[in-house]
Amino acid sequence: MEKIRNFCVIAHIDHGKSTLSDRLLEYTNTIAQREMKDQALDSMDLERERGITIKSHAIQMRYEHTDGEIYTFNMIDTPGHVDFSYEVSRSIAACEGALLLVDASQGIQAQTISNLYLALEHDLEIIPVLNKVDMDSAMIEEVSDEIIELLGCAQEDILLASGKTGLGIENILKEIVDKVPAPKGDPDAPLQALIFDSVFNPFRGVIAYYRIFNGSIKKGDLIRFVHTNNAYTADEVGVLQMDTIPHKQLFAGNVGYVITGIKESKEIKVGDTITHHENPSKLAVKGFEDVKPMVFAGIFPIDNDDFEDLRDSLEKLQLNDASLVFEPESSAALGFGFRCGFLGMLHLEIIQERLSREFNQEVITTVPNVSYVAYLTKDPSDGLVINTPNDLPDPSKLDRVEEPYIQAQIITKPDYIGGIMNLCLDKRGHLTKQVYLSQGRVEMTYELPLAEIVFDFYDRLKSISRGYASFDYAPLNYRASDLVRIDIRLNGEIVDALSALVHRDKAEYIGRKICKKLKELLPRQQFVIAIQASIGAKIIARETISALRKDVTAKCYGGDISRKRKLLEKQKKGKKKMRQIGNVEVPQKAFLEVLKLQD
Amino acid sequence: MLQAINREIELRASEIQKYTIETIYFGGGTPSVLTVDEMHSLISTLGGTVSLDQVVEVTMECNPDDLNPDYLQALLNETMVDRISIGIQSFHDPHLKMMNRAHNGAEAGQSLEQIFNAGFEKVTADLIFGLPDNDLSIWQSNLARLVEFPVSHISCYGLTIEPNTALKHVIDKGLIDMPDESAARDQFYMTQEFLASKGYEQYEISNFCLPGQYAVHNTNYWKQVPYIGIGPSAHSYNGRERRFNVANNSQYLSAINRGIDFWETELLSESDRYNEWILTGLRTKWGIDGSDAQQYSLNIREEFDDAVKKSIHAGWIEESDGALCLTKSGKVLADYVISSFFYV
Ligand SMILES: Nc1nc2c(ncn2[C@@H]2O[C@H](COP(=O)(O)OP(=O)(O)OP(=O)(O)O)[C@@H](O)[C@H]2O)c(=O)[nH]1
Ligand SMILES: [Mg+2]
Repeated sequence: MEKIRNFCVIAHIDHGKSTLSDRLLEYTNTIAQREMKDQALDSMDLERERGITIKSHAIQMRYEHTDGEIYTFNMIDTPGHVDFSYEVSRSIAACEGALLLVDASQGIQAQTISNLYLALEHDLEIIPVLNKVDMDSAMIEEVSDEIIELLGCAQEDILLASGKTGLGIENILKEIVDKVPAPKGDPDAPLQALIFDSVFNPFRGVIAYYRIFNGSIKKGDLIRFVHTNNAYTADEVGVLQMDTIPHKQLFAGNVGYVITGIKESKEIKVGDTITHHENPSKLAVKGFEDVKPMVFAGIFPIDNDDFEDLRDSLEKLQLNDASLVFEPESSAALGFGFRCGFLGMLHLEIIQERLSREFNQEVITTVPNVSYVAYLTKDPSDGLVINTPNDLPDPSKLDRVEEPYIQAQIITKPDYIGGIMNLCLDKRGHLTKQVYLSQGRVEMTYELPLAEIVFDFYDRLKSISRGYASFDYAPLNYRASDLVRIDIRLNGEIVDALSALVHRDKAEYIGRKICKKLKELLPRQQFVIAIQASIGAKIIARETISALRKDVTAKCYGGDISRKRKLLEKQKKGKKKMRQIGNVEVPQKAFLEVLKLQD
Repeated sequence: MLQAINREIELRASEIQKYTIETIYFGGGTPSVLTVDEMHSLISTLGGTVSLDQVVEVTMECNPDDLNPDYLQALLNETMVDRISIGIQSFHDPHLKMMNRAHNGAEAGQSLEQIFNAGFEKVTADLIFGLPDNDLSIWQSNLARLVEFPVSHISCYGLTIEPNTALKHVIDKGLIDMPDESAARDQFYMTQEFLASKGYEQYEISNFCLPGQYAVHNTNYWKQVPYIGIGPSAHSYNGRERRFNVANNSQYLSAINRGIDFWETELLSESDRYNEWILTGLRTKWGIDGSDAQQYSLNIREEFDDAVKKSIHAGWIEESDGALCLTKSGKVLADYVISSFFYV
């Protein structure tokens, strides 16, 4: 156990975690040279295309220390985007140390701080790494000062590194041995292993990743999950390298996987403790707080017949993404689907994309909203949770509605303070604190309604600050809000899936924007389409889409045929993803796009 | 350029020799800049490669502004060219200006006169409707003026605003209004009625002719008959793949000179071929024979029947003698209707 080190790599988004991980894997020959590719741990297609890490990735390495001893490293590369901080917190629970990376050209950013705090809460040993020092724009001194200020560490504690050139890699590996404490635990005690992640493999079922705190687990053991209280045989146990590597037995302090033939998500819960059926541990490891979704949206199959398949896919996806929650819901316009909770808009987008790619499920995602609490006049102390616009009670019966507020940390250059203040004012926020981290960087703390930041906040922040602002937030409390529901009618018929919950002050503006946006998004048809936004019976905005009177290409000879075919094929593909509502065809993406009010 | 084109014919001799040549078409821009001698040499290169005995139609595209009586006379008498396609587009000067044409309305009329005086019998002319600021009466007078000549064939194209064109630019700048869709539709309807009253048959969405005077060359495109295109930007089709020569003249020349590939090919999948059969077939008066859909190894029976049912119900398609054809209201929405049949 003294020869094991468990650590994670944490940082703000894009500060180079996955690239630095590549170098560590390379140095320790965990990946053969010929199999090496950039951000090798980002194995999902979506991660590679978008160049971001979505899911934490655990991997074991063997490192020969300067003292000649071989050490086992269990490393977890984590995502940096705020929507995936649940991945970070689960990874942290399996480790004793963390490499905290800071991009030398960017300095401390919002998620540098929030992820650091997550690690400190779990008493991890922090190794600060000043990364990307190869860059011309690296500000080694300034950023070192920021790190010293933040951590209270000494200049010598900060390791300089570049995941690009490989500078400082050996040093980092050495420091991990010297600084990160070896895991503690009793290999002879009853088994206690924390499940920190799981993946679904269509051939092998669920693969659970765990960290053993006490005892040992071996192939063939009869094991039990404390929370679900189900018992299974450990068909295979082993460690995680680029592949799963089976082992006979794993002991306290190590990180590994187990396959038990579980195929369903409800049988296993990330955060649960694995113990033995016979001689169980009395205590469960402290698991994770249940994730609190920030945004809710309906997910509906394009074709109603696919409802059961969609449920199946969501359950499988949940095995890969413990932060996804869902329950059945029905809509007059869209039929049966699911109300899903997400950690943010990027998370929502990723889930929709994964459903399409990994499960071949084309879905319609409805207008997203945050979760409100409504109090009725007849019982003003008992709150009803409102996760969908249709659940909002009739205004005449309402005592009040409360909406979630968050505390936001925005780190920026002083030049942009004015613009950011205007943005936050527009977003109904108020400034509670403003401190200078260094001469060139200021941290602003705001209280804002969550609803205002999930939609269309981050993009505006980025453009106002020309990219020089980072942002992090945490739930604060619920506060009274003047909430109204905007209904959208297409040719007179209310389309419940397009309804949106908004603050009254903004209702008219948003109603107009939604109508405009729909006018762009809905394809023209052979009849006029009237789009109206209303609050109750009162129409607040309207647009009209004129009828399609002529749709015919003039020339169709030789090469035109191929061009025209491709164009019409594209149209037909788009059509296949539309949903007929009344007599109007609504494209799949329309529901999600309506609240993108920027352009 | 002529040399390069001759060279391409030589390079592709074995490919060309696989076919019996039925029609020849000199098009794409202004082949009428070629002298009669040059035309002659081009045709004889071709004739040296493959037999032209079976050729029934040799068309040349011309612009009204580069024709003269001697040229036309020589063309008809000394070369195989027996059909002229003349880009009239309009007789209305403001419209010609808007479209950046070099000729005016009067010249358009003169060129037609010259063509008939030279003795051409097979003549096709094209007109463009659906222009900005175009009212029905201007369009009608265009049609009326054209049929004063004994043109055997007429193509009427609705204006499409292509990206990166001067017209698109002025419309974007708000200098002229976007053409009105309802007006374009009304003009399309008027075209159908007017030309029918003059004895022209609409045998394809944009093509009308006097009885039996179909453009053999163009009709073959719609029947999936193979063709070979020579020259920059020309395309070829062999039933399975389509080949596109590079469009850029200097790239074409240098590729031919250096003996490297000057084309790209596109292999047509089963669904591509099916979709093209729908696309080209439905646009013609012959329509498509529903039972031919089974020739494609695609699982489309149900979708096809469904699309037929919906289109018949909407009044866009009718069935006559086993063929499915677009109706009058189907023709204005042809793209919409056709794509509903597509397999994607
Ligand atoms: N110049 C330079 N660029 C680097 C270095 N490390 C990473 N990059 C670049 O920075 C970008 C982000 O790198 P990643 O390794 O994906 O960053 P990450 O922290 O894993 O990002 P997330 O997982 O999405 O939070 C990529 O374009 C890398 O090529 C470095 O040391 N020097
Ligand atoms: Mg990463």
